[in-house]
Amino acid sequence: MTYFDAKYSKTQLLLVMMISVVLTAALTVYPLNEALVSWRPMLLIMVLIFWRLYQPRYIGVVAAFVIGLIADLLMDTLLGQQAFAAVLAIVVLSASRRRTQYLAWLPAWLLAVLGLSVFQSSLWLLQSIEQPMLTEHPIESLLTSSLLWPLLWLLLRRFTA
Amino acid sequence: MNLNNFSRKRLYKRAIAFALIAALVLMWFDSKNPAWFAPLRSMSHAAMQPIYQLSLLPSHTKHWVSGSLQSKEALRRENIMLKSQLMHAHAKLQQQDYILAENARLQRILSTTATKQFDMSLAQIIGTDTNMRKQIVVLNKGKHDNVKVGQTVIDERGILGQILNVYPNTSRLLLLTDEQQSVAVTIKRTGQRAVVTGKGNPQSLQLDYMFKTADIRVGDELISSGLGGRIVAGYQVGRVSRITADASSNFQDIMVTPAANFVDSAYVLILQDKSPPSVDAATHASAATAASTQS
Repeated sequence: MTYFDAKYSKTQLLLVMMISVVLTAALTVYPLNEALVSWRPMLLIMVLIFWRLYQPRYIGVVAAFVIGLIADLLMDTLLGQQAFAAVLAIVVLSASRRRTQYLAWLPAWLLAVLGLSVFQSSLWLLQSIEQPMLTEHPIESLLTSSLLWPLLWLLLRRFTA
Repeated sequence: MNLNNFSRKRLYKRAIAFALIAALVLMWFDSKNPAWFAPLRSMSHAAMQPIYQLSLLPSHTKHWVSGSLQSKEALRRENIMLKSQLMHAHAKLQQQDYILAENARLQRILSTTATKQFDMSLAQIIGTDTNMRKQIVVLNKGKHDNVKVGQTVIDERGILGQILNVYPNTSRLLLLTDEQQSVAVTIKRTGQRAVVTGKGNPQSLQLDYMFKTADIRVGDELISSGLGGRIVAGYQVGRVSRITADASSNFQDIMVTPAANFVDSAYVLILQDKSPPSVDAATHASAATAASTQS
């Protein structure tokens, strides 16, 4: 399938997606000190949500699953935990948006916050089943992720179309 | 008109169900048999090392900048302070040398085996692990500095833990406070042996398997006993802070305040064997299965 108004070719887009995932993966494991560590944003999921909102052709259940697994490996969580949460977040995102017009930054942001919240709460649920102790995804992380998402949008806005 | 929409690519219900079930199955397998995925995990840790290397850069620059910007006067003052501290330490050390010599003589009389000697290598904590639930920190010393899996790490007040993974220039340290870490101790006052286990919380440890009849008091010091051959003997582990008798159990519920600073220590000492590396094979497998003492 070809799209007449597509600014970038499929390979270009896939390349950018890959680079964004690799870069955010690197930032995810960058060692932080004790005080900052709970504020670390969930960058991989933020990027996943961005691409799902603006390039849904390429980003579906499989991509969410794979990115979730990468996050599991990087953060040493139970394998499949973040994959489950990521797939769930993507499903909720798709269900809450079926209209065809272009997404401006504000509705996109709101949708992103919705996706992040779904991701976070399903992780909490899974982790409380596994072990009712403190979680490795504190509320601060959700906050920074939500606040930083517009920044990600600004960085990647060229690829929104 | 933009054609970019969700209706173009619907999510298939079957795919969703499959992915969710696959994730659940994977989680179940991982929680039951974590060993199956160990190669995958060690691979991902190895892949992270370039980033850890990169993270060393800011601290190096900060060090360099602070070194070149500090005033002469401040340096002079610091120098005087450090000199006086060093003198105090040397004075104390003299006494310790004497005690060590005496101890060696006594051990020869008793014909017990000599205690091991260690080199201490200073390392810096460069960050915490990505998983907050695990009590693991990353150190800036690795294989090139002769760090090996299983080596004990201390700070100036007590034992911190043991080395879990080693990479060329960095290593990961599993702290005593991790839920999967235990250390064999003796109670200094009575000489009784016991096991201290982490609780996943940097402020407290737990003393296991002490009968209600056992002689133990709040304030008792706990020293590592070296039993099991994993953690070096003779270093401070902690102090008993609270004892509660649980009516339903034979054992007492004992909390221990750790001696070492698990919250914000920046520099640590890695104890490295002076003797030729013959015990490595034994310690190599140990760190990964350090949890076994617990179960």
